[in-house]
Amino acid sequence: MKQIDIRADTMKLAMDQLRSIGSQLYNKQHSGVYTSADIANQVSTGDWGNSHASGAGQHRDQTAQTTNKRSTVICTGSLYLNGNFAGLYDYAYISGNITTDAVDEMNAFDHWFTGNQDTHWALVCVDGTFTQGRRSIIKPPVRKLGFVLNVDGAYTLNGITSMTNRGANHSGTGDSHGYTAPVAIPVNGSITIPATGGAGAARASRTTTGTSSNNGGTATNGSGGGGSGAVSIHGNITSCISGAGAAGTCFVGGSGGGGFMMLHGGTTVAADSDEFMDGIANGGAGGNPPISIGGNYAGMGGNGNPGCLHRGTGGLTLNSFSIGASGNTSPTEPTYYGFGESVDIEDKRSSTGVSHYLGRPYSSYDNSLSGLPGTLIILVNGAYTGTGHATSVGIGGANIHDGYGGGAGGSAGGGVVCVLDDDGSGGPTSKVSAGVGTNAYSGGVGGAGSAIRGTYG
Amino acid sequence: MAKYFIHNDEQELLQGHELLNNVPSGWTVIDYQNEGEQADVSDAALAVEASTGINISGHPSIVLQLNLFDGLFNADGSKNTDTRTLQWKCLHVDPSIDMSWTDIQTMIDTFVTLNDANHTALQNETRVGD
Repeated sequence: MKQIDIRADTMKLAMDQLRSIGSQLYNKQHSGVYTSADIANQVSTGDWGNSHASGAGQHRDQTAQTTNKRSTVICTGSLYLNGNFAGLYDYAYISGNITTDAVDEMNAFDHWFTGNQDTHWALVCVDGTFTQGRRSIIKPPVRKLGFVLNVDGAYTLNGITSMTNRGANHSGTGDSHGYTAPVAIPVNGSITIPATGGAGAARASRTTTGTSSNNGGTATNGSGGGGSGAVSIHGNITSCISGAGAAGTCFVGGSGGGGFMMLHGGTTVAADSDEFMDGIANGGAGGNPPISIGGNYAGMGGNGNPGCLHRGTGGLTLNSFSIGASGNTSPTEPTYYGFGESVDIEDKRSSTGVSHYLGRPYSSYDNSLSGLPGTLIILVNGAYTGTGHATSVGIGGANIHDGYGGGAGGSAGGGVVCVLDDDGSGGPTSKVSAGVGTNAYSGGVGGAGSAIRGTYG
Repeated sequence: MAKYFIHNDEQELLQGHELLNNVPSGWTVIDYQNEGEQADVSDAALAVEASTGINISGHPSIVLQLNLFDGLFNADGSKNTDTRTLQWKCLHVDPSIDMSWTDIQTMIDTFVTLNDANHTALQNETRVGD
C-alpha cells in the first residue's frame, strides 16, 4: 500500500487531495504507456499486475480480496491539518456511483476499513453518487480517531452511518497503546471541531444521606463531557465522593466516573489515590467503582473504553439483587457487565423484587457496555437526503431491567457528526445524544455532542 | 408542572405518529439548536437547563419532573415508604421506532414503576454494618 503523508489546511482540502491521489492510483494500472523504469518500480512495490480498488457494482465482490486483487483501502500515512499532526489515516477509494440495496452488498463496507485501532482515521471516498439502502450499516469495525465519508455527488442515506462506540481510546492506556494528542480539526474554512470538547463532570460529594451526581458539559462543535458517578448513601455518613467524568476531545466523547451505593459511608473513596474512580482522559476507561462497597449494595463504573466495571458486595448472599439474580452471591471480584460468553453468565435478572429479563442488548452493536462515541464527518458534493441515520451517540450503564441495582456510574458524552452538503440543510438529523442516566440511583449524564450542518462550498 | 419536548427538527417527528404535529396540551416545545447556527444549544434549551438544573443530554427528548423516592431509609432507620421528591429527568425519545405520545406516556410510567420496584428491592436487602 502506498504511504503518503497529507498536509492540508482543512479536512475537506485533505479529502480533495486524497480523491485526486485515489483516482490516479485507481486508474494507473491496465491503461496508458509505461517505461521500463515504471514497470520495475511497480514490480518492486508489488503494484504491477494488480487490479485496483473495486468500483461501481464491484465493491462487494469478494474476488477483490483474492490474489492480485486489492481492497478499496489504497493508501495510508500521516494526516496534518492546519500544521498540526492529527493522527494516522487509512484511505479507501471507490470509483464511480454505487448503490447498496441488495443482500449481496450488505457487507460491502468490510472492504472500506482496516483493523488499525485508536491510531488511525478511516477516510473513505465514493467518487460518484452514493445511495445507501435501508439495510446498510456503515461503521468501522474498530475504534477510530474519526470516520470521514466523502461523497463526490449526491448522497442518499437510508441506512445507518455510525461512529457510535467507535471513538478512539487515544490516551495511550488502551489495549492499542496508541496515543494521539487532541488538536483542533478544521473541517472547512468556517467549522472547526475543537481539540477539547465539553468538560467532564466534577466529582460528586455528600456529607448527608441521599444521592448526588454531576453532569458533563457541552462545547460548540465539540463532543460532550462524561458524567460523574453517583454517590448514593442511605445510612450514617462522614464523607463520600464519586468519580469525575472526563472531558470530550476532538476524537471521542468523554468517559464517565465511577459510582456506588452504600448503607454507611465513612471514607472519601474517589479522593483516595488508589481508587481510580475518575474517568480516564482522551477516550480511556470509565472510572471504577470503589474497591470496597461496604456491604449491601453495588457500585458501577462509568462508561468508557472499557466501561461499566461492576463490583458487588463481597460474598454477601443477596436477598434481592445487585448484580444478577436473587439468591446469588454478588461477585467478590470486579466484573464487566455482559463479559461472559455463556448464557448462564450473561442472562442476568432478578427473580424477586424487579423481575425482568434484559430489556435491551448490553450495547446495540458490541454486546457490552464499553465504548464511546467518536467523530463522524460526512462531506457531500451534492444533495444530502434520505430517511436514515447518521449517528454517534453515547451509551449509559446497566438499568434495573438489566438486572442491576445500586449506584450507577456516569454516562458517556455524545459524539460529533458534521454533515456538509450543497445547501447546508435537509436529510437525516444527526443523532449525538449522550448516554442516558439509569432508571434508579443514576450517575450523572454526559453532555450532548454536536450535530453540525454546513455547506460543502 | 412544566414539561418540555426537546427536538432538533428531526424529520422522523413529522412522519408516522407525527409527534411534532400532535404535541398534547401541557407540553412546551423547545427547538434544541438555533436555526442557521452551529451552536449546540439554543437559547430556549439553555433556559430549560438553567431552570431545571439538569442537562438536556440528547434530542429528541422529554424533560419533566417525576415523583420518585430519594432515599431507602428514614433518619430513624425505618424503611422509607412514602417520602418522595419531584426530580427533573431528561428521557430520550428514540425517533427511529415511531413512538406515539401514548408510547411516551407508557415510557414515563415504566420509568417510575421500575424505580419504585428497585427501591423496594434494595430496601429488602439485609442491612450490613448496623
